[in-house]
Amino acid sequence: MKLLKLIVKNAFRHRLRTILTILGLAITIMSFGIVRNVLEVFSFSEDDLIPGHLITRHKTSMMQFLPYSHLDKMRQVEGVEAVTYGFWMGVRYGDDPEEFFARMAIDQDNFYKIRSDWITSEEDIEDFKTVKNAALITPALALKKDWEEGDVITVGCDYFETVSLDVEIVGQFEFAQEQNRQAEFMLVRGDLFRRAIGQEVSPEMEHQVGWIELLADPPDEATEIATRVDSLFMNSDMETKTEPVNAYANAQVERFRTIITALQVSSYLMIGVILLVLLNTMSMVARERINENAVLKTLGFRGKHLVILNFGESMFVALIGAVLGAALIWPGIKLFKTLMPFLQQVKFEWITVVWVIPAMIIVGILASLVPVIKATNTSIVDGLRTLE
Amino acid sequence: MAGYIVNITNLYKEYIRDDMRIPVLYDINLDVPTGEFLALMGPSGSGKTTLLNLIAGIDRPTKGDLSVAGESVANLTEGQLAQWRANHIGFIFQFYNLIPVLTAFDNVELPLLLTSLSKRERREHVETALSIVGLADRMNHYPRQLSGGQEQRVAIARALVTDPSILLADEPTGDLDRQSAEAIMTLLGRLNSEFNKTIIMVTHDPRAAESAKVVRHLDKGELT
Repeated sequence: MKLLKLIVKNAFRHRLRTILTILGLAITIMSFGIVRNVLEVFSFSEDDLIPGHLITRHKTSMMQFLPYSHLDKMRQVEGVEAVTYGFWMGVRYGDDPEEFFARMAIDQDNFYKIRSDWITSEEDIEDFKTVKNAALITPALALKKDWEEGDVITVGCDYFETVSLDVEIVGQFEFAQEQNRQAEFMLVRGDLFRRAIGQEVSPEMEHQVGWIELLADPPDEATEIATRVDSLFMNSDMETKTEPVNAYANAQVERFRTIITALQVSSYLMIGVILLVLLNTMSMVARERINENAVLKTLGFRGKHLVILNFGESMFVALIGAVLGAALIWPGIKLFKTLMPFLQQVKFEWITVVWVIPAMIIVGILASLVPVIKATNTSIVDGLRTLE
Repeated sequence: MAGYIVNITNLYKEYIRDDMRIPVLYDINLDVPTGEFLALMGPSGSGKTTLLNLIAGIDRPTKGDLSVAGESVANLTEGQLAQWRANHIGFIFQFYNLIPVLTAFDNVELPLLLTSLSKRERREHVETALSIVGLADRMNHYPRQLSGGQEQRVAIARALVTDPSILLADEPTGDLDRQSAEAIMTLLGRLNSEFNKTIIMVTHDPRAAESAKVVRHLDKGELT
C-alpha cells in the first residue's frame, strides 16, 4: 500500500501516452466484447432443446419451401406425435431502417404442441387460434413499441415485399431460454401469411410452408423417426431432410462457419493487440526507468519492491483499460445493433465482462515482465551509468 | 576496528568488458574514523566513484576486505545488502536523482517506506530532514519547481532521513553553480560538525574538498 502512490504517479508520468494506451486498451476490449457477444448468437445449449424435436426442410436447400400437404402425411408416420410448420418473415418494420423486430408465421393450431419453449397462456393460445389475424408478441417488443392487446399493426415480409398484413395483437408469449428473454419477436398466424403470399406472390404459395417441425415419441428414437419421415418423400421432387433441431441448428451455424471462425480468430487477435499495446508502453517504461530503478536500489529498495512497482503500474493501466472497455461494451452493442439491424439477437452478456477482467490480469502480468526483468537484472552500477 | 566506520584492506577491483579485464582499483587500504569528513579526489577514471560504490555496497570488490558500519559487505547476499544499505547508507548523487513525479516531501519519504514507521512518524522524520536542509517551506514542490541547489538539498534530506551511519556523496556539487555548490558544502559541513555524520565525498573540485577534514587522492586506481 505504501508504494501505491508511486505506482499511480508513475503510471501517469507520461500522461498523454498513458491515456492513449488506456484508450487503445478500452477500445480493443470493447471490440472484443462486441465480437464475443456476436458469437454468442451462433451458440446454443443442448439444455435448451425440446426432447424429440425434429425439423424438416427441403432436401435441396433451406431456402426452398415444402408442400403443406407433407404435414398430413407426416402425421401418419409411426412415432410422430405432433406436426407444425413455420415461415421466417424477416425483421424490417416500416420504412425506417432503424425500426425492426423478428417475425415468424406459425401454425396457429399446433405450434404449442411442440414449442414448449414458447411460454404463453391457454387463453392467448385460444385467441391466437380463433382470431383470424391474430399475432402474439414478446413482452420486450410490447414494451419497446408500447403495443397492447387489441392493437392492430401492419407488418410486412422482408423477402415478399408486396405482402402486407394487418395483424391484431391478442396476447404475449415468452421464450423459455433466459438468453432470449429480451428478444423482440412477433408470431403471426401461419394461415394468414399463406393466404397473403398466395395472393401476392403466386396462388400455389398458399399451399407451401417454410419448414416443418415434428415431435418424435419416444424422443430417443428421433433419428430413426426422422429417417422414416424422409423415406416418405424419397424420389419425389419435394424430398425432405429431417433432423434433430440441434443438428439443424448446427447446420445453420455451419452456413456462417467462415464468418464465425474469422470472428473467433479476430477476438483472440484482439487480446494479442491489447498485449502488444501494453507491452509497448511497459517496454518504454523499462527503458526509461533503468537509472531510476538503480537509484531506488541504492536507497535500499529490493527486487521485490521493483517487481511490485512495475507489476503494479502495468496492472493499474491494464485494469483501468479493462474497466473502461468493459463499461463500453454495453453501449457498443447498442451502437452495433443500430448499425446492424439484422443482428438484433446480439445482446450484452455479463460473461464477457467476467472474461475481460482475468484476461487483462494475465495481459498485465505478461506486459510487466519486460520492466520487471530489466529492473531486477540490471546492476546498480550499470543502471546509474545510464542516462535518462 | 573500534572507532572506524570504514575498514578497507588490500582491496582490488576490476571490471570485465568484452572478455577484457579492466583493473580499476589496486591494493586499496583505507580506514575512516566515525565522524570523519573525507574527500576523495582524483582525475576522471582514477577509480574514486568505484571506491565510493564499493563502500556503499552497490558494487562488490574483486579481492580484499571491506567492512562498513561493522559489516563485511562483500559477504552479504543481494537482499541482505539492500537491507543493509537502507539501514546504514545515505547516498547523494551528482545529478540529484529525484523522482520527478513526486514532491520534495514524497522523495524524502521514499527510504522510509521500507521501514515500519507509521505515517505520522514518517511525516515527522521527513519534516525534520527538510528543515535541516532549509527546505521546510518547499516540501510540496516538485523537482521541476526547484533550482539545482534546492534539488540537491532535497537529495541530501533523502539521504539523511533514515539517520544512516554514513553519508556518501558522489560529486555533490558537480552539477551546480558556485554559489549553490558553496551552500551544499556548507550544509555537508554542518551535518558533519553539528550532527557528527561521517561523510565520504568524491569530488574533483578543490573548493568542495576544502570543506572536508581529510583529503585523499586517487590516481590510476591507487590511493596516494
